[in-house]
Amino acid sequence: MKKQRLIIGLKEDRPEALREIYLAHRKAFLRYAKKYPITTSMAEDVYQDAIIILRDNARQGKLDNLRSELRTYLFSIGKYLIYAHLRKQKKVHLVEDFSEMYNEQTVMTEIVEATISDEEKRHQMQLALEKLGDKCREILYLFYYRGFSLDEIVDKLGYSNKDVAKSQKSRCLKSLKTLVQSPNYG
Amino acid sequence: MDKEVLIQKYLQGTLSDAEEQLFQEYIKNDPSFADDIPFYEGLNYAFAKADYDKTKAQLHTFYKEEKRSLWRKWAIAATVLLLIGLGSVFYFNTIQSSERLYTQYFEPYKNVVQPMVRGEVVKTTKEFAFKAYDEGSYAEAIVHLNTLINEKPEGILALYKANAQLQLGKTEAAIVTLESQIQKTDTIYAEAQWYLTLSYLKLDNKEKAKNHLNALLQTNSSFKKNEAQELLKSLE
Repeated sequence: MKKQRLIIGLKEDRPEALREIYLAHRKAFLRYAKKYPITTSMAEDVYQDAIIILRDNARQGKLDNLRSELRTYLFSIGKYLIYAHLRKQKKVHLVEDFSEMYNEQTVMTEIVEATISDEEKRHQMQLALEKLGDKCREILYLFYYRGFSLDEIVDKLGYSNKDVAKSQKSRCLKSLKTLVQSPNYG
Repeated sequence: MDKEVLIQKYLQGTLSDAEEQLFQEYIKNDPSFADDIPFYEGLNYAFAKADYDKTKAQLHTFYKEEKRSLWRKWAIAATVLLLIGLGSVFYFNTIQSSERLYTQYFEPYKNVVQPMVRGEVVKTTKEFAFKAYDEGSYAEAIVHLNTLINEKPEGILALYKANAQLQLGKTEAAIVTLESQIQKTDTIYAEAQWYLTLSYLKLDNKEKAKNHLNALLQTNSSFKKNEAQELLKSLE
C-alpha cells in the first residue's frame, strides 16, 4: 500500500519519500491555508514544519497504525501550527486539542527554551558536536535523539556486537563532555 | 535498569510510571546523575536543531525545484504566447498588405455589354442583369446572369458574375466562376486572369496571384498590362 510504503520511507529517512509527500500535498495545503490570515511564505514555512513533524512522528512509530490518510494527518498538523502561529500573534485562541500530534522534539523552541536558557551553552554543544567525529556523532544521535536500542545500532552501523557498540558510545560521550567543557581542545 | 537507557527514555518522553519514579529517585540521590541531565537535554536539543535545519534545507531544495519547474512551465507558456502574438502580427500584416493591394487595384469590370440609357424601358433578362449590375445590386445581377448562363454560357457573362461575387465579398465563389467558366480561348481570358489575381490577393495567396499575373502577361491582350507588371514587382 502506498501509505505504508511512504511511512516506511520516512522512518528510514529516504529523501525520495520525503520529497514525494512534500510535493503531493503542497498545493492543496497552500490553498487550504488561504482561509487563514497568514502570508503565502508563512504557509509554505508551516507546511514544511508540518512535513517535518509528520516525519518525526513516523520515526517514533506513531503512524504505524494510522487509520486516516496521510494527507488528513498532515493537514491537521499544519492546521495546529497555523493556530500556534496565530496564537503567538494573539490573533486566535487555540480551542482544539492537538496534544497527541504535537511533537515536543521538533517544535523544540518552547520546551527546550525553558530547560536550557543559556544560549552560550547551546552554542558550545553545537560546536562540540561539530568537532566530534562523524562516527561518534552518529552513535550518540541514534541512541539519545532517535532512541535506537543498542541492538538496532549494531545493525545500522555495523558494529561486531552490542558490547562494542556500548563501549564506543561511552567513549564518544566522554569525548563530547570534554569538548563541551573545554571547547578549545579537540 | 541501565541509567543510560533511563536517560534515553526520558529524552524520548517514553518513561513509564515506574521508570519515571526511578528517574526521580536517581535525581534525588545521585548528584552526578542530576548534574548530567542538562547536558543530555542540551545534546538532544542540538540534535533536534541539526536535524530540523537539515530537513528544512532538504525541503527547501524540493520547494526550489517545484518553483523552477513551475517557472519553466510559465516560461514555456509565455514563449508560446509570444510566438503566437508575433506570428499573428506578421500574419495580419501580410494579409493587410495583400488586402491593400486588392483594394488598390480592384475596380469592377465596367458594363460594356449592355450600356444603359437612362429612362429606357427594360425588357430582356440581359437588360435586367446589367441594369442591376450598373446600379450595384449585385445579388440581383447574379440571379439574372445565372439565368443567362444557363441559357447560353458565355465567358463574358461569367466575368460579370465573378465581379458581382467579388463585390459581395464571395471571393472563393468568384474564383470558381472564373476558373470553371472561362477558357484560355475566350476573348476575355486576360481579364479573367486579372480578377483571379485580385481574388487570390484577397485570400492572401500570393503564389497563385503571381501565377495568374504571369498568365495575364503572356497573353497578347493589353488589358491591365502595366498594372499587372507593377503588381508583379510589388509581390516579389
